[in-house]
Amino acid sequence: MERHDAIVIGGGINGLTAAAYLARAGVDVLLVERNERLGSAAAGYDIRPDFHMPRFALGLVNMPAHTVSDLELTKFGLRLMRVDSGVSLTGDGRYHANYRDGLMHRRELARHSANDADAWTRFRRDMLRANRALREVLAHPMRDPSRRSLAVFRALLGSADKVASKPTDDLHDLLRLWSMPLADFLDSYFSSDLVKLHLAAKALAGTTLGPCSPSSARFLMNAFTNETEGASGGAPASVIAMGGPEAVANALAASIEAYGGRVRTEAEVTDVILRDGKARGVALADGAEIYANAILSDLDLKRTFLALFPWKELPKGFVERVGRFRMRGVTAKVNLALDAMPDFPALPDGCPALQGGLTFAGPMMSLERAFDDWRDHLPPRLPLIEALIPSMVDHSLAPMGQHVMSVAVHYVPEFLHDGPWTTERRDQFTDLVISEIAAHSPDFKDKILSTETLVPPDIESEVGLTAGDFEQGEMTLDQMFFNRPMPGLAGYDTPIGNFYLCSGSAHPGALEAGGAGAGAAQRVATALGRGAIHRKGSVQ
Amino acid sequence: MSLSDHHFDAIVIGAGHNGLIAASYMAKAGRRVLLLEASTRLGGALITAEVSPDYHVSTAAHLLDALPRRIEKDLKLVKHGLRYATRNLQTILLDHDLNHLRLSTKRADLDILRGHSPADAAAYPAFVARMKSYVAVLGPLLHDVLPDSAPEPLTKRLRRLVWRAERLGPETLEDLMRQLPGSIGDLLDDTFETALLKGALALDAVIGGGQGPYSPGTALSAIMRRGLRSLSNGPHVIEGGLGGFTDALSASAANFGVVIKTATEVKRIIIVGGTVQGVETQTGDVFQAPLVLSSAHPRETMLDLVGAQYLDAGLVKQLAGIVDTGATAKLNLSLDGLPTIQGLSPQEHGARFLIAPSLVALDNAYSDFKHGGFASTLSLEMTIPSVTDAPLAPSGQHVMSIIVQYVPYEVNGGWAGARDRLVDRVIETIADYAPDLRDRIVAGELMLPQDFERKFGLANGGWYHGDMRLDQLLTSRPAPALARYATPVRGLYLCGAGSHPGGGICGLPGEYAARLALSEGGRA
Repeated sequence: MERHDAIVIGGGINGLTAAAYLARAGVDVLLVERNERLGSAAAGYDIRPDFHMPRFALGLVNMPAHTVSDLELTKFGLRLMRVDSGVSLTGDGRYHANYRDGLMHRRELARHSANDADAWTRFRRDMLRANRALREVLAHPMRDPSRRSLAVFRALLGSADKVASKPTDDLHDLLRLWSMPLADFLDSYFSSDLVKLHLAAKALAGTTLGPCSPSSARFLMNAFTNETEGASGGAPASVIAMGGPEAVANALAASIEAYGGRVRTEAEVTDVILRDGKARGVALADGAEIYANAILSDLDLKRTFLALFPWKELPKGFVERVGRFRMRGVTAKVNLALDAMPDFPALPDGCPALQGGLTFAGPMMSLERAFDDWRDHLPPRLPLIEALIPSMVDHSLAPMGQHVMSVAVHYVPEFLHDGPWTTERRDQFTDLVISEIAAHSPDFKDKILSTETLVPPDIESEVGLTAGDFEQGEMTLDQMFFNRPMPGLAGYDTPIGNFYLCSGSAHPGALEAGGAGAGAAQRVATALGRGAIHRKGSVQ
Repeated sequence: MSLSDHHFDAIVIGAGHNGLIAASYMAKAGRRVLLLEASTRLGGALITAEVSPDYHVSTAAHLLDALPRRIEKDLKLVKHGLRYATRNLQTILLDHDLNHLRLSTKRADLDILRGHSPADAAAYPAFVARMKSYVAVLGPLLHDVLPDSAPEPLTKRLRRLVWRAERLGPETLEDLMRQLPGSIGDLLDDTFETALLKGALALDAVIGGGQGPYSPGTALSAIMRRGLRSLSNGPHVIEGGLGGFTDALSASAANFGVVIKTATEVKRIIIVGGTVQGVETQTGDVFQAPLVLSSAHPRETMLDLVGAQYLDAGLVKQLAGIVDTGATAKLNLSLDGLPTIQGLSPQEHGARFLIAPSLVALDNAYSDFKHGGFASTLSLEMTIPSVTDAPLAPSGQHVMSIIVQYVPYEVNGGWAGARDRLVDRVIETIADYAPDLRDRIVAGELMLPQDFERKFGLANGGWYHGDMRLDQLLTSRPAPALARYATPVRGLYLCGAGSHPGGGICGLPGEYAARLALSEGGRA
């Protein structure tokens, strides 16, 4: 009978991070993944022979530096490249490029508006400050105010004191950022529509809010999550992993094994084995049973509880509560192999910012319209398109002179108001996306060697994300912090003993790559009596 | 004019309900108060006027729904002529199939709801109780001046909030935590299944404002609205319309000795050495007082009457950034008889009607509105006040007052051609339930957001001096540095709807500002 201290179900970034932290703490951990490749949504593939690319994700990575160093991912082969953070192109032939270099970025902003060059300094400072405040929150285990214990109550009073002791202006700046509609927030800094549009498009990509939704402004700080304060004051860098985002997954797997843990792919868990209401092990599709003292799920909340358990074993009302957890797909993927580098005549020759990708979007209100259409399940008309050509930086991805282009399209619904996605609908959608890009690159269509389109239901069936939701649960305020995944479950525990949630459905969700995995590992290490796991940037 | 005609203990700018209430409280405390109003009439947007000769109706808002009983008593409004035509007015949700719902937990009313959905009939009383417990936690935020954001009082207040929340019990607390930052639409979807019930409750939460039913933060504003309403046990129909309320407030103010000057527009607030000295009017008159309370929009008060030179740059930016969204139109109709709303007795025609067939329709209307249009299915709040207040119209005849939700300030193609289309659409919508309405119409008056701006000076036609939106509530209303009515100018206070707890006819900004000015403002 196979037995381990802990089993992690699912080899996404959070599952791998959880397993790596546990292995490093000396826990005998086994990670099982259904697919052949690790990484879940970070996995890559050959779109055609010799053309390798991220299949589901755009291709940028945002693993926090403290996790990279805690788990020695560089030692295990991870190479990260910081590049300029991309260009935006508009329908009227204008562009806005984003440079890491402060002077270049300032000059670029001044080309649009002298005010905006100055406003950038304020904006950048405020975003860094907001991230600093957020990191303080993320450094503590999330206390659940609905758990009525003295310790939690004390901690809450402590937080109340702490909030109150912040300088009033800082507090109000944070309140504004977390409550305002993004469009109004940007208006309070910038005047150039192009600058605002670029920031809006980058921030809203992959979210379930529009630029006019209250509380959407806070997505603006995401781009600055891993920005170091000492950088030269330009646009925050984009980060590309050599080999694609799956390189992060592979380095994590190497890290797990180096610390004595094990990783098994093509092993699908069909059931969690329960005894006396507690989780004791997992049953695999091939009939094997593996036992452990702690079981962690890297699947989203719905898939975890609606698929791995007999519903009658769950507490009364719990299935309904799980059902109410909001998950909606919002992103589709169009993958392209290209015969040559596409030209973008609007851009200056050799524009270095192109390495960080391209954004194509209409005016602010058309972003809002795209958001409205998505909510109404209409076929996309003016989607928000982000494209990345990772082979510009990583020459190993495609034959010399040829390229792969990863296109993420946002505000794409899971199903259409009048029925599911059909082959014909997918083809129309692919044509729309390619035409939108070709409008900025005249010979684009001629350079396409292969395409693959994945709409949200494809993403659900390929990687098992319910509704094709990459964030494993919408990142709106009512589903964040102590509400993630729901009040009462914010500490990675679940109603089933010995069973923990370590996926993006748990706190902090998409706020930090691998954050939920690391948090769950801490919880499990304590439960197994291994004491605290030391993490950089964390406080017990 | 003698010297004393130009010297007062306090000057209040603007004679809307908040200005009148602030002035009365100051005068009641023995201060000599001057109230200045730019227009020729009192009451701001709370007026009753003729739709057509001999047909009278409240021009804008039409129900008194959030005035605390305390203010009514303190200012002796009943003695000064306030008469309730109907107290605690019933709300009826009109149904196409004539199974009209009543928002109440009475057994007979729940039986009708049971006909729509047995689950909802069971869920509704629980929902009402849940909202009540939310109000109990958040109520203290409304019932008092907000805490100073200096660490000590804020700590005390936050600690009290934690205590209160702890007492609720884990389930209510879990609910509250989840719902508070979310939208009223999600909250209702999680609770009910009847489209009609969800549509109406959502309309009730967003009416008058520029937020959609699925906008994050609308659950909080719904709870705050309930909190304010619970102070007044409303809504009430006032005899003579809301102009009758204004008359009572004015009489009360005069009785307390407030000197009221209309047609007197303030040009600037006089400041010497960072301290307020009085005001100068457009005609050059100077009135002196050590206390000035302004019920004008905070942006207008601080940027136009005070001037940016007295404020720090951050505050100027915040004031300039206050968002006002007009999203509501008003249609007033003169009728030569009572229209027949099918499925209701004639007495029930005096109720407050909500026409909001579904959350989806309301949300679609919001989308249309955002993009410069108005929906084909409109959501409305409607009253026929003449049913319980006959003198509003000639004998046997009536007036109808309709608030139309999600009408943009600017419409695609311009309002010139669209006005009639909107009127037709509203009448069509109501005629679905009252087929003889069209034949009864004698005259009508449509007030668009632009008309509210022109007539009442409401920026963009927004009703609240700053939208009641997540980022413009509580300590952010109207700006962090101004959230406690006092301003950086010593002796100058804000007392209008732009201050906490905000718009709607609650009078609390006026009352709280006056109390604060009295306690802090020295005795000149």
